[in-house]
Amino acid sequence: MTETTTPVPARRRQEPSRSRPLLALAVAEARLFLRDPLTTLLGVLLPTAVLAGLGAIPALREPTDTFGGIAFVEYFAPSLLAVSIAVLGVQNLPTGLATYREKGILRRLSATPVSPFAVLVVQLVLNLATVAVGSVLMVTVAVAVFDVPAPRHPLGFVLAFVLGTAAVFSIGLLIAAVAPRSRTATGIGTIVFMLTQFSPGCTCRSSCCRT
Amino acid sequence: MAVIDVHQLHKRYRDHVAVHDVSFSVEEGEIFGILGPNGAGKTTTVECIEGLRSPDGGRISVLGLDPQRDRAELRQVLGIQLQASELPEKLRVQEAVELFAAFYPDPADPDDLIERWGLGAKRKTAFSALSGGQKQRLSIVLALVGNPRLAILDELTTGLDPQARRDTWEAIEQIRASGVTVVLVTHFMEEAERLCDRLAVIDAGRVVALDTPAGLVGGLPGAQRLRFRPSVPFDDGVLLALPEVESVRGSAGRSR
Repeated sequence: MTETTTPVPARRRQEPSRSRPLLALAVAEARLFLRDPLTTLLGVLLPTAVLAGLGAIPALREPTDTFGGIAFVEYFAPSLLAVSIAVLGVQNLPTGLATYREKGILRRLSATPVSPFAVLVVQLVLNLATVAVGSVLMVTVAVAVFDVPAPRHPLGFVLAFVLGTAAVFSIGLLIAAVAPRSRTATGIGTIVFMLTQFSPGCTCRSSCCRT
Repeated sequence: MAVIDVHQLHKRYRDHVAVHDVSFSVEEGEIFGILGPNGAGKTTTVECIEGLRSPDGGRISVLGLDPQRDRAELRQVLGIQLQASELPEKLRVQEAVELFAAFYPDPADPDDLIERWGLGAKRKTAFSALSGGQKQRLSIVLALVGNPRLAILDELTTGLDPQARRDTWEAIEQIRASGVTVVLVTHFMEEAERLCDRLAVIDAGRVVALDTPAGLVGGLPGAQRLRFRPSVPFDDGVLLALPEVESVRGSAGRSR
């Protein structure tokens, strides 16, 4: 290119790179995400590990009247999806965002052309992706190894899953918005995690069924 | 044209006034210092200039832009080093610089900057494993990676050991040599005197002095007071005979 006045090439270069900051941020965050083995382990492998642990006990693979004529593993598998959603939605997501705020990372980013909103989006997408991977893995293992029937209404299943995830993640974002520090976020997140585990039936349904 | 023009800036937080009335302008290519004790309103002032806070009164123009209205445009030509901001612990030096480079339309070469600022051996080191001086240098690199026309550095050397501080000073002179206007916030007079072309002294939310460092030092009252206890009593006249001595005060006309 020959010599031109500076604003012209600057603006021209700007056009194709609109998605570049977001992409770079997503790559960097994904790398950090994978570098934290605990998150990956909890988010992706925990439900499958619990399922495998329970499934290793022969009695829990036998159909029983206590659970309406189905095996405990089959009965419990859907609830494990909720564990995955909640670990990432109300614990990992808000703690991560609150840490970023506490350490001034969000502020540092708001001093660049990229908006801190982009961080929010990237974190949200990463956690959602992890939920998806963890859930697909769990359902696959449940169906393939433990003979749990695949969801009978796939569309309804997906809809319920998406709505449930959206609801739990909204709570997670709310925690991130009000918690001033990462420790507060973790604390609130843990309490909310316990509460969310009642509604999908991890705890409640089994006791209700016995009566 | 002035790079920064601040006119009667006023900012309060609830019932506490952080900045009463601050006015100054920064010329292109200079290192301009903002000096003052902790809590004087230095950081609030520069945060208003950076568009990170909205002023309650006064006018600010930065490179002809309004920091509030033209925030997005200003971000592309302004390099900011914030007081006490961190990065994700596990983010490595090279990754951080490349990430920030991707935010700007016309960035500097990340590798080149990393080498120039002495972080070449630390490319693969995680942020949490860097020393204080290395973190500060990385922080400068991140402020410069967008090829800014103006860099605002807030308390750059606070918490550094003397050697790291001197290294950082040389680094700042390097920034200016590359044609970038620098605003330096500090509470060390020594630092301001060494680096700044001009400086504004802010105290309790007001500019109390605005001059070159030499001008500020020269403007101080010239007299010095010396206290001592002589080993042998002598007459005051001995001292008063000297041209530099204005007055001698001792007990009972004789120094003992």
